Amino acid sequence: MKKSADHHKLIQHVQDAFAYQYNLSLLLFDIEGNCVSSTCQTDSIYEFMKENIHCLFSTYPRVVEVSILDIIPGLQVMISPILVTGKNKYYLIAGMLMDDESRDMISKNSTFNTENREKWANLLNQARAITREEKKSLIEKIKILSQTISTLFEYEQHEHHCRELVNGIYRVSELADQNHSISDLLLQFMKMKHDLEFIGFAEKSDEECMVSHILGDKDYTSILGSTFIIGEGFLGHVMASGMICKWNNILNDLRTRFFTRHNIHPQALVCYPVCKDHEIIGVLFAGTSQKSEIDPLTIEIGKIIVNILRSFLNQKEMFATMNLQLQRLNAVNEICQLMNRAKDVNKIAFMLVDMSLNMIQANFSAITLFDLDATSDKVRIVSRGLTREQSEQYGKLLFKEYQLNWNVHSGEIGQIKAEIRKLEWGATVIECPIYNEKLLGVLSVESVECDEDSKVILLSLASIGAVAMHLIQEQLKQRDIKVACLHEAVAQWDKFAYEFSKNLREMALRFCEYIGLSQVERTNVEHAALLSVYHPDVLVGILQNDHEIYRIIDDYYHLHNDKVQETKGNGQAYHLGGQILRIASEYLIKNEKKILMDVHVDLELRQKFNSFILQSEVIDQQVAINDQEYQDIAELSKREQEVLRLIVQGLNNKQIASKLFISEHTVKNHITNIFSKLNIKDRAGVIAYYYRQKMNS
Amino acid sequence: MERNRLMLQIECTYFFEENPFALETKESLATRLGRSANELEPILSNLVALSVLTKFGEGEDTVYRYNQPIMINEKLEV
Repeated sequence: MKKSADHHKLIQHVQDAFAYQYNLSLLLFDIEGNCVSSTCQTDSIYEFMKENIHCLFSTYPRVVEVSILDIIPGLQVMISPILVTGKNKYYLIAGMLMDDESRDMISKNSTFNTENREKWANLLNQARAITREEKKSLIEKIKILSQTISTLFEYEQHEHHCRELVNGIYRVSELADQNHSISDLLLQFMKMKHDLEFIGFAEKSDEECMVSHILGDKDYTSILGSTFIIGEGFLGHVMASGMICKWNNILNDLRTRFFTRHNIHPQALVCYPVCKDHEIIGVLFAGTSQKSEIDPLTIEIGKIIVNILRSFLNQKEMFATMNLQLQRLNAVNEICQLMNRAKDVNKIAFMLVDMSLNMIQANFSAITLFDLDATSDKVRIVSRGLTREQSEQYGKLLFKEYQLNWNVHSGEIGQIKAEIRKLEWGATVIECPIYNEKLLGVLSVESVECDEDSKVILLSLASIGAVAMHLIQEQLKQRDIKVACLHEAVAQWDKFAYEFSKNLREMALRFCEYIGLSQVERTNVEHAALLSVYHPDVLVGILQNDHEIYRIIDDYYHLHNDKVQETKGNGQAYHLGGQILRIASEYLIKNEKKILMDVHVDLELRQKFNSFILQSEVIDQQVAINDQEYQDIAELSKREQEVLRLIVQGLNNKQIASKLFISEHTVKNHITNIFSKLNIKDRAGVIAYYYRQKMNS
Repeated sequence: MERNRLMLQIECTYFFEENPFALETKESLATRLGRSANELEPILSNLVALSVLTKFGEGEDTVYRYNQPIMINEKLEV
């Protein structure tokens, strides 16, 4: 506003100086007839002009150059149009003038006989009498004054325009954060440049490009989703060349078809490539159907907008990447917590295989674990997405390259890196050593891109896995030593108890395997069997970190010594391990092939033990069976026959369910039917029935 | 913070690892994990695509179960 006032003041000064120099009244009017300046000259002429300007404009509506108009014949004003950016915006009026010899003739004009005679006389007295030569000269001077005023107005308008542009660019730059969209950015560009009719953005995806954003005076949304090939049409040309291009007078250009079929009819178009890391990722385009050319300033501003758009897109991508990294970090943290809960190395291997697939979205992953004994050539492979043959082949390869050749000296931890390997069958894998003091194995995950992010994530998982495995191994080692020492101590004071606990261990272990307990559960039962001769109170402090073993021994003690706790009978069951030791020790003591009659031990477990004993004896008798030798039993359905065969092989319900891909509940139903049809009460009876049938046949 | 899709995928994977014989529909798993069936649907599809899970049947009755990884534990003739 201040700048505008300065310009008006300057125009007024120029006008006043001119008026004073040539003894004239000068006034500036806009095309609506509003006076935009004041005069320092005679008030009567000023007042007359203000009052009569509308009448003057209506009488002479098309004044295009400096003209002399008669107010009344002989009494004249000069009127000069003021052009601003080529358009008639103001009129400069100078007066009053008259020919030097015509004063008397004018005073005789009939107008002077009206009631305003005095006013007219006054005007006439103040009018400047000039010769014809002076008039010509004055016209030239007025022309120069008009051009000067025009230049000042244009300068003012240009300044105003520049300020608007700077403000516009500032507003656009404010949009470059994650709370705004590309559409907001384009809308601001449209607001800055009113000569544009539409503006849009096309993004590259694979080999094609697609219009993803469009804004305009009308609804142009039908163009959204339209695709073009690189090199095709105006937009494709910019994608291919990477150059800013403008096209004028293109109304009849065939390449406008991309736009015209969506009811956009550009006469002029400007397109900018949008680059990221020297690669063109899209095209910003803008055009108009009103003008055949685009203003050069608009093209320059477009360049700034493209730069802001590029920063905007980079920032968006950076936020997206950061968000993804944060998600992955949270996921790694969660995996770390889950691995801490794992109680055996196999479990950790399973988790590493599955979690690495989740993190990288790969086709396969594998864990190759080397035996802790460095001289052993035994490896354990857990894989998902590979065939058994591929797993073996790959395991051998890793064994050769890592177990035999790989070496990291202490203090060189930073050297543990993810490696890339191309496999025989074409897949590319990221291999991460699982290392903690020694090489425990290798985590291998297929990766198409083998990017740094994937390597870092997999290396982190491998490190977490290594720590978890190392901890478990250390704990187990310590426990093995502790249990072995305590067991050996028994030999010093009770040889019988020592031998009994050894036998109990062997029997319990075999049964655990029979009913399909996990390695961890088997080891717990094994250790508890060896320490079963101790009173639990003696062990409570020693086994404070091995709650499971203590619970097994404590429950076994109470079951074995008939010190059953009432609370257990009502709700919480005795530990499975304690119940197994109870059944096994009873069998070892009494050597009876009948089902234990202890209600505190699960009936199904007791029946299973009986089956186990029966089966052991059958095996001892070397009754060989294989698939071809199974005897069909007519009363049973095909599915029941299958279940029966698996019972005979010693599988428990869970294993049968897994083998036949049915639920445990369904297995139980089949077994109930088998019992009912064969009139048998338990599994042992089923096995016995089967072998009787076989012997008879 | 709302659990993102990756975290939920890990939660599902862990559930099936811990219950390798579980046979779950989208609805039953949603009840077990305290999630909505809709948010589980894309995650279960992804786990099937990764071969972590196998699905039986189609539509609402689709049943998912854990795919045990291949495990080899032996001496290798290198």
